[in-house]
Amino acid sequence: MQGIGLSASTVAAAARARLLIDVESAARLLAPMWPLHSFVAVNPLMGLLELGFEGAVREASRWLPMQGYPSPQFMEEEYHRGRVTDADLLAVLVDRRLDVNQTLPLLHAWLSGPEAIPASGKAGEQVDLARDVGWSYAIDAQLAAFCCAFADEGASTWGLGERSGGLYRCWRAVAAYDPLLRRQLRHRVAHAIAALPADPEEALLNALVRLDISEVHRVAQLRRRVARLPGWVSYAQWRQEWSGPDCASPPLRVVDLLAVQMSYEALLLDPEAMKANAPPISAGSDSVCAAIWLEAYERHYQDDLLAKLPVRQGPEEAKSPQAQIVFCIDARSERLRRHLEATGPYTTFGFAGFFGFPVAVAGMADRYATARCPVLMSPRGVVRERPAAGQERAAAFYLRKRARAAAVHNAWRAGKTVPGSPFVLAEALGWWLLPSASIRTFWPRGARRRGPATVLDSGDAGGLSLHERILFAENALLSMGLVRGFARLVVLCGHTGRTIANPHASALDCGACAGAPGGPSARVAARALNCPAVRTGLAERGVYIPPESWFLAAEHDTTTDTITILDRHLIPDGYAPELRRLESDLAEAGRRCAAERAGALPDIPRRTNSRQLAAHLAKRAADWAQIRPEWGLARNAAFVVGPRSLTFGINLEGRVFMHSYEPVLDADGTILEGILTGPLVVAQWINAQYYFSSVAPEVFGAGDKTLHNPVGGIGVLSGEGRDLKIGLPWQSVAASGELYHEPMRLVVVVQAPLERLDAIMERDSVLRQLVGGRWLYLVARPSRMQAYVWREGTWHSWQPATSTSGRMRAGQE
Amino acid sequence: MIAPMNYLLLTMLVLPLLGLLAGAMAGESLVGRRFVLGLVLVNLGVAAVLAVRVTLGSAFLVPGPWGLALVGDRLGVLFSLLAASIQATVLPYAARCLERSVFRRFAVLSQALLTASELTGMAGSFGALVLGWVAASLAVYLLVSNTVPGQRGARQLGVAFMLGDGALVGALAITRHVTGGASWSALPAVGASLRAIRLSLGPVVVTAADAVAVLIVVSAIVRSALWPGPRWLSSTLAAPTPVSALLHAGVVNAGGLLLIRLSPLLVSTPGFPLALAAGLGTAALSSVGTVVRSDVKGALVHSTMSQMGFMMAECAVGAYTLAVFHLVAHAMYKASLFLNSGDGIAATVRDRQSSALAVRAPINLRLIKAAIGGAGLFLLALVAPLTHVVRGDGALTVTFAVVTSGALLWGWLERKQPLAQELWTMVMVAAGGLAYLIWSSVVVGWLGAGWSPAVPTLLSPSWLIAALLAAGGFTALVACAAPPRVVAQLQARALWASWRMPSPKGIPSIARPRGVEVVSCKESV
Repeated sequence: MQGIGLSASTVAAAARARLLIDVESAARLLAPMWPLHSFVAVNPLMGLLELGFEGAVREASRWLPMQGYPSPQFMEEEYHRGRVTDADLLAVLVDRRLDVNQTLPLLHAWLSGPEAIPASGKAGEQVDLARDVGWSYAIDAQLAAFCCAFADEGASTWGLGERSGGLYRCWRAVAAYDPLLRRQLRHRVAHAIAALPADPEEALLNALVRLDISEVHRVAQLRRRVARLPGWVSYAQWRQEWSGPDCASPPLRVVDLLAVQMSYEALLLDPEAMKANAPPISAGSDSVCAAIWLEAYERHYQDDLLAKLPVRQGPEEAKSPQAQIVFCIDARSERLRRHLEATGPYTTFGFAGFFGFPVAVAGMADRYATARCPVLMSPRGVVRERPAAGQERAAAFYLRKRARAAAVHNAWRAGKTVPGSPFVLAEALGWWLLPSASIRTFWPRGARRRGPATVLDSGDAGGLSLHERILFAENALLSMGLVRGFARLVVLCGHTGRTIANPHASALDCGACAGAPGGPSARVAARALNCPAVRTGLAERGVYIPPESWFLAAEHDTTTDTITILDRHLIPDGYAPELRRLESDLAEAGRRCAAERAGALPDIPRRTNSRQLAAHLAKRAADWAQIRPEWGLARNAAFVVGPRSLTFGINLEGRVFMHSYEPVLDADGTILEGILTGPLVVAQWINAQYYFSSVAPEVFGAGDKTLHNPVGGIGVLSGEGRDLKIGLPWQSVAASGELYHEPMRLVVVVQAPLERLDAIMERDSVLRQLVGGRWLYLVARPSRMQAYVWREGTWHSWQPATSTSGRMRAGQE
Repeated sequence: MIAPMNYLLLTMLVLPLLGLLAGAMAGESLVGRRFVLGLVLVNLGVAAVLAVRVTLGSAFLVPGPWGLALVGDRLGVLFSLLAASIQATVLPYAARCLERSVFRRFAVLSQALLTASELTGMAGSFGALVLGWVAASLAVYLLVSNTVPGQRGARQLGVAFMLGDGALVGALAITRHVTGGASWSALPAVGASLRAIRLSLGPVVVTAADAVAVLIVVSAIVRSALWPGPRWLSSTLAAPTPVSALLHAGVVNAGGLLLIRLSPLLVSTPGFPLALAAGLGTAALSSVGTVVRSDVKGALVHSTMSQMGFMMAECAVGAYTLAVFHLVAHAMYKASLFLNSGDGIAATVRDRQSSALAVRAPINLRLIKAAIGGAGLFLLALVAPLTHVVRGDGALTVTFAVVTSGALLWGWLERKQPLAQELWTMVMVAAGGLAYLIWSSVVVGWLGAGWSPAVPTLLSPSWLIAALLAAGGFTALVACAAPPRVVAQLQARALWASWRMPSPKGIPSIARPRGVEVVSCKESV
């Protein structure tokens, strides 16, 4: 008997394992969504990576109401503007070996063709994914309302109790009080809920049986249901796979979501009637024309970019620089680097903004440490902020101040909760709140919190070992190609975007620091690189940093283009003159950068000089009504890996991620491999996030910012909707109904020998999938004179579209 | 002396109309936007001048054609001052957050709303009030439907307002049919003659006044988004933030104003008890909605409804001046909170991060300290020179203030603090409470000077004190004595009830008990 029992349980375990695999593969339609307090841009179709770009878009548009390509209307406008030309189309057709005479008319006809779904162009017009299907809308509305309470991280004053058992168990405990179930099931409701299995997997299996869904159709049926609540499913994907083991937020899993959703269906629906009512799965639109237009559009930009890169030795960088400044690879650094180099003898570098130190950082008054490294890595230590020497009293004062603020907040919560007191609270506070709201509206002024001077030392307890610090420092310096010729000042400049009353504020922060400000990472790295023990260790490994070189931390505020020097109290006195000069040059570069950037922002007063423009941008950043404080990474288009001499003095319009790379320091290709598997993936995610938020705003965009309704401290709802919004707000990619972002796939330009790239592609499957699946374009420049693009498994010499079409015409004649 | 004031009063109504025209013609340009805003600021200035005038002198009436009089009294001027100051804050905010074409529509319709609100506030007769009321409904409907992508929210709103406005127009029609035009001074006489008209339905005797009163209260319930009226307020979340700020700060208040202005028609009718029931019911239900919702705007919607419920209950027990004080302060409070709704994510993170800076204080000690703080405020209130404490509704204010200061202390002392700081906190909260009492007494005194309204005969402010004690007792019982299962059940009910119930009309068939029985069979085996 025991044997039979055992085998039965083995069968059950196998069934559950198969179910979990099916759920996982169904949910791969959607990418994880990070909570908004640490927004991380992702490729929304990263789960479908192996299908290639076109395949993934086709698969996604089978389930989700989206197109996935720029609309014909958009392309028509761009065509008339000359942004994409017949020459570009011809070049693409030749590459694809399509018959030009037949295809070209078809492509032009596509421009004036109908649009299946109103895609980009209508801000905020969100497609309610389940509106047309009454029953699924009713079920999803109840489920999503429950999710809002379940996933809450403390926004409501009466949060749900025990949640550690997961969504399904929490729901099952109270489902008998759901008005929808009560109305439909009447007196049977308590019994029906009590009869549901306690375990989510079992409940899902039961529901599948009830709904008569066979194992063959299971993935498809689950995928259809996943597509009904893309926001919550994406968030659950983050929680179960990416949030880390010690995450404090409630455990939300996709299988729980599906178990609740399908339990509702099993309780409420008659399977036969439902089958008749189910919407047909669409076949996915024929998108070949759209894909060709997109490629031509990209091709045009790539030609421009490659034509800009110098063929001969250009103007050289400063030989003995006054300071070396390392910026994040973020595309917004490009402008600042260019302007800074123009102000004086500075050399700049591009490197991931966590500066190679994967740590989590906790402020002095913080309860939780937050990760400050790319989400592809996990933090190797926790660095706690501690008061600098002689600042202990100031620090204690600061902590008391913070405790007092927390107490006031507790009082506010109690005042909102105790019966009767909210009324008096409103009567007492209203007289003060409206005048202050008026002042905030008429004279925006950002609140800057000032605390005592502190230190972030990764060598402290809980941080990194000396060996680790030496290793990370060596890696960072080697990767950025800075191993000799150190200047007296080496600045590590992180970045952040400071805005207020902006739910998507962290989308403007550093992607390499997991959607957090980059300043702390810069402080950690600079502190380690100034540490004598680390420098000795580095010298033993062949990287000699002269004792007179000092590493400085700084932070670039991308919203105002101001640069702040951090940890000023740690700088030895001898550097004062250089520091003064550096600061004034940074300020000047920032002003020029702001002036250049302001040109692209709407509602900028005309006839103003750079100083006034910078002041205007500062005001904009502090304005709580402002929905577009900066453009962020919109228009990002390329990733350049190579020495600065490759791009020195060229205006790349803030559209290019730049990673420093010295081919000569990397004979075996390990550094390049690190770049192409780490920072490149992050850049591709950012690029894809912007792409899909632009071309499929209904599904992969967060919609109109003025409708946003922050929920649970983790995300936003839009208007009356109950599903979390994923992606970027419409205002981040478009203005006045027109796209500002140019939806294009990333083009990666690498200064390296072809063999080295071949070897890396041989080794790394993700890179192979990205390049081979056309998620990005890989262009190699083995020397200044040549450029090769990887296409269909081999390198092709780069031919500008104009020359291709010229040859075509010649050939035809 | 009177004549220039008449012009000022008319100017107030004309200025927003100019703004409307300017908005329509040049709302998309910077100059046009500034011009509209300038007009609103001038409007605010005019309202301030009128406020000085009614403080120094007495109320004055501006007669008009068809019984459409305007009145310059303290209530009307305060209402207009509020409407203009809300607009002066929201308009520049909207100018920066809305796309230009949307802002243009917003500017036009918000100015229409301003005119209508000011007309409602300063109406000198029932007819003028209804005109302002219906115009405001129309303006709100157009405002929401022209700024919401998609039409769902606006349709629900339109149906609700048609119901409410229909009721009010019905009340006006009956009144007019019986007595002709009615300015505010003539209203008690109108009420008397309405009460004289009796209609016996079997054993029940109904007067015309009863019918009019019920219609008026229904209209007020709809406009103030009270239970059990239609839930239009949550459907307007589909509109942009500044629109919500205007709705929650201005439009919902009109229900209270209506009851106060027409109170002579409501005495000795079921009107007041009906308003009290709706008010208290909403205050209780929506208070729970406020605390369970985790989305910022959803919580704010429920908060508005519960605050409106409280305000309406105050009207129903005859505490009109307190109700107006509440209405004005709440409008300013809620407009600001809506404008700051984008801070939701950052605020939650801030709280989480600083939630463990000190250890928890023991509960009993906290209770005692909170009680001491509340008692201290009570003693202060007894000795302080508060003008309205001696009047009947003073006890109401003091009771609520004492409860609130206790609540604030309860939260404030949740974490351990040095003794000196705790004492300081208690002193500060008591001082704040006293300042609040003095300020409310000043405003209420200003508003009530020379005002002898018709008050309900049966109901008195002590009903609200009783309701507060009942609610407090129930909450304490649930918090301390209820088993977790019951708490979870209450919470779940409140949670789902706080969201609009989706229509299940697409559900193909109501499930037969088939599956349920199968599963239960298995269990019994």
